[in-house]
Amino acid sequence: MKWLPADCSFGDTVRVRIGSVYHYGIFVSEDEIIAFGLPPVPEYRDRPERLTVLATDADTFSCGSIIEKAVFSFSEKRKKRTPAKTVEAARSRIGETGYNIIHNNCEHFVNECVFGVARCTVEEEARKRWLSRPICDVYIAKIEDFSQNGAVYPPERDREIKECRNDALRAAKYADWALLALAAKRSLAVDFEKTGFKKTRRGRWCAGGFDFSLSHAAGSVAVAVSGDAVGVDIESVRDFEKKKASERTDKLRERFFTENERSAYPDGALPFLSCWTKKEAEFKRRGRGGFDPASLDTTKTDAASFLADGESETVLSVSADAIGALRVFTVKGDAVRLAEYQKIR
Amino acid sequence: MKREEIIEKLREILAAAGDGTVPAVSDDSNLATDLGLSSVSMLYMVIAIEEEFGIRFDDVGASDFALLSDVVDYIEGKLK
Repeated sequence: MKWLPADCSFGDTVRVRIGSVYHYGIFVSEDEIIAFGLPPVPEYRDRPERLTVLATDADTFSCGSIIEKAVFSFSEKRKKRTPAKTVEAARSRIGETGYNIIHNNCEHFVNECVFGVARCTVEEEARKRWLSRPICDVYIAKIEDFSQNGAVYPPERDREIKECRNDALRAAKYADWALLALAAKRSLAVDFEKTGFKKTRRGRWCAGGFDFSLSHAAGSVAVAVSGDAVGVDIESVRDFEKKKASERTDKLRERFFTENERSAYPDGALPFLSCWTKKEAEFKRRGRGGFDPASLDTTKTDAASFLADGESETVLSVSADAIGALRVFTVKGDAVRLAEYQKIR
Repeated sequence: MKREEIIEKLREILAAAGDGTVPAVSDDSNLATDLGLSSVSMLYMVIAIEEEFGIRFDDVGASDFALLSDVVDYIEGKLK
């Protein structure tokens, strides 16, 4: 369907632009345009009939704007009613109420008169846009908040976790997976217990239908979920400093950073970990090949770094196809909160 | 679902319906003047709420909501 400013005829579908929206009607004559409600302008706001199917003249309908008429495609012409039937359908509904901006508005009305099917392109497009929006969500929690009660899904992963002999590592793995279940259900509406999980030859767990990435450090776990490829990495600044590694960042930079990265990141623990976690996250996003930090240039990747706890304790990086949609959530007990974060270099 | 969970979910929707910034909200936040929602953003928000909460705004219009608490009350009523 196309819209053209042209002379209108009996039974035409017409519309007029009011601000950012369109008001639709069925044209009968210059003195009779049938629409569901009056145009959404301030002067009609208090009129009792403003949300009723009614007939107005062209001046009232247009509010001084140009009236456009619908030009139907070949297939639409085959489906539409004759002008006489269209006008008959519109007139039969005069006086009807029950206006609803989402489910029963002026566009639904004209489509029902013309095609016998109530539909609204604005609603359909908005719904499609919401359902197909890119998702890149990161969830952060404390390992100690997960009690390790109950089994995780799938059973193979549960067995793997239970067989881990290191208590701290087992707790981190359990927390990672429990947080993944929460993240996948919450962000992607995934039926987690029906998800097809498998392990790659390199031992990495993958899910059918979405991508995820896990990381833990310094008592915290981070999980990233997305409909597209995603990688996450978290590192403790304190642990890095404890290992005296921060005193050697110049040597580490020389060895592992590309020339671009050496220019982009100043010396110091925080910038070093920012770049390093981006490398890890990018490696996880790619999901293949070996980890060769020296050849992986993070200045050319879609990655973001920030302080996971809002303080200078842990640095978290995410690399994702949908990095523009990045959202960060903190989880404490049952409370999940959308967090503000500040990107760091 | 608790009222706080509904508000938290609404914050996410409002961030997505707006420019991505996480809004600071309270019960008496005005959708238009405090949160800056245009009529199109309002429509998008209502559709997002339908999808996220599994409810249908079939007996009310988006223009019937002035405050965030109006939206929360409506969702709470629908979820009962």
